[in-house]
Amino acid sequence: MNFYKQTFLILKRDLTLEFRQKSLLFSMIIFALMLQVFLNIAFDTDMEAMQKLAAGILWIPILLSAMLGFNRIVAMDKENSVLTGLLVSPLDKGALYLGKFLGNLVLIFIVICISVPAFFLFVQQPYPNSLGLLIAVLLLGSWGFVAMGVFLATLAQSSRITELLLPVMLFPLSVPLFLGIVQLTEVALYPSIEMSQNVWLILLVSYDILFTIIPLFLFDYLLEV
Amino acid sequence: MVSILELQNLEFIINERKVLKSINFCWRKGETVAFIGGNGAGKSTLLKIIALLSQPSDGKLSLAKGVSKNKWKNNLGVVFPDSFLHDSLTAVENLHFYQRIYGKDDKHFIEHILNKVQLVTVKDELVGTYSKGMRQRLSIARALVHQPEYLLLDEPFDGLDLKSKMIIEDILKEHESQGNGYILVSHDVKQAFDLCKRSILLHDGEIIVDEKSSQISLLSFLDKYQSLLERNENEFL
Repeated sequence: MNFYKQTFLILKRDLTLEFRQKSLLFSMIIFALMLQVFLNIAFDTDMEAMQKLAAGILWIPILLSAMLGFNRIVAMDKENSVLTGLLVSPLDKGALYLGKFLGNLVLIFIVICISVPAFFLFVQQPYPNSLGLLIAVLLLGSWGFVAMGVFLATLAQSSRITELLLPVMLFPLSVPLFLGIVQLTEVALYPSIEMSQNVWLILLVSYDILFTIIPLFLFDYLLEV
Repeated sequence: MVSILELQNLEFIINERKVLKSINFCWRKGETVAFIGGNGAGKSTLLKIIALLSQPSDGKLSLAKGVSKNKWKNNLGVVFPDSFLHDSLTAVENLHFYQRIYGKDDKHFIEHILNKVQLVTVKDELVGTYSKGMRQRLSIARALVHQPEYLLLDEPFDGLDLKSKMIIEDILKEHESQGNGYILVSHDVKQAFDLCKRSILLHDGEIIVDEKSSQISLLSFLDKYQSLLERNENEFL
């Protein structure tokens, strides 16, 4: 069975399990919406100040709700030692990583589809300056964060302090990604902000490629830890 | 008989404790082998090494000529104490998932194997609702779903009722009659003697007895096993 079929098989299984239970997806959506509400109440300010805060208010609910998913989707294979069953099979471990990464990405995109319109509703901004750029940033930003998150959640699974270890490792390693998404989101939202987009776009794309390819090759060793 | 796997002077160390000491073992095509021993004898560790789940600390594991690690895994069915099954999937979904992982897609065989383990009437129910015996039978079906030549079974009869035991015994006998082999880890010496042509007694990571089951009497084997267990208890006290 080739690599892509195996990846699709893992993706299909993860999504079947998730949509059957629905608990994680609902938790992620409700958590993201609650954070949107709290942040908008906390930063109830004028339009000028909002320009500085908007990118953070848009992204914090998405990234934190993504954190809920990482441990859960990796822990899925701990149930009845399913992971051992996969390790004794000829499954390519890179396909296992890619399938889990894509599964998580689908969940984040669903959260984005609900959380981002809610953001526009709460900040009372009718339309972004550049919708294309905003979609690109949402796509690239969540791609990089999920790629890194799934990899580190798998690494943290072998530890007794999984829940503590994941954010401690993930947030410092995501700093370049945060810088890129915050800068580009500001440009995408407000016409008054001028900035060279290319450098940040190159940074985001490079980060995404790097942290998708590295786990593909390291996942086999990671699972032996 | 052609050798399919050979272990030479194999050692396994965890936390500076030698779990396996200088193990020499040759598994031949179609051979049914029992690993018998008390707790901590190293039976399950040995099985994990044969399944390529653990790397030996020292010694050599060689597969038959022309057999890669992937080919070996493709030809191996594994039953460990954990079922490797998803509670939120049905029996058919679990089996189909594992079958496709091994590059096969044969729904008729899934139906056939479910029939054999007598789970065909509950095949569309979630595995989370199954009893221990049903799970264990499904676990055997999972191990067989890609039609492997070799099986590794770690105490598959533990805690099962008579009906489940008999179903699994029948499956193993049929597997052997088709020229296939298996390694069975068990505490039950009589059952192991009944099901396996070769019996290996392990104690404290060493092979103490390695005989054809027909060439050693069950009583003398039991005596040795009992004395080793007693020695273990005395050391513990």
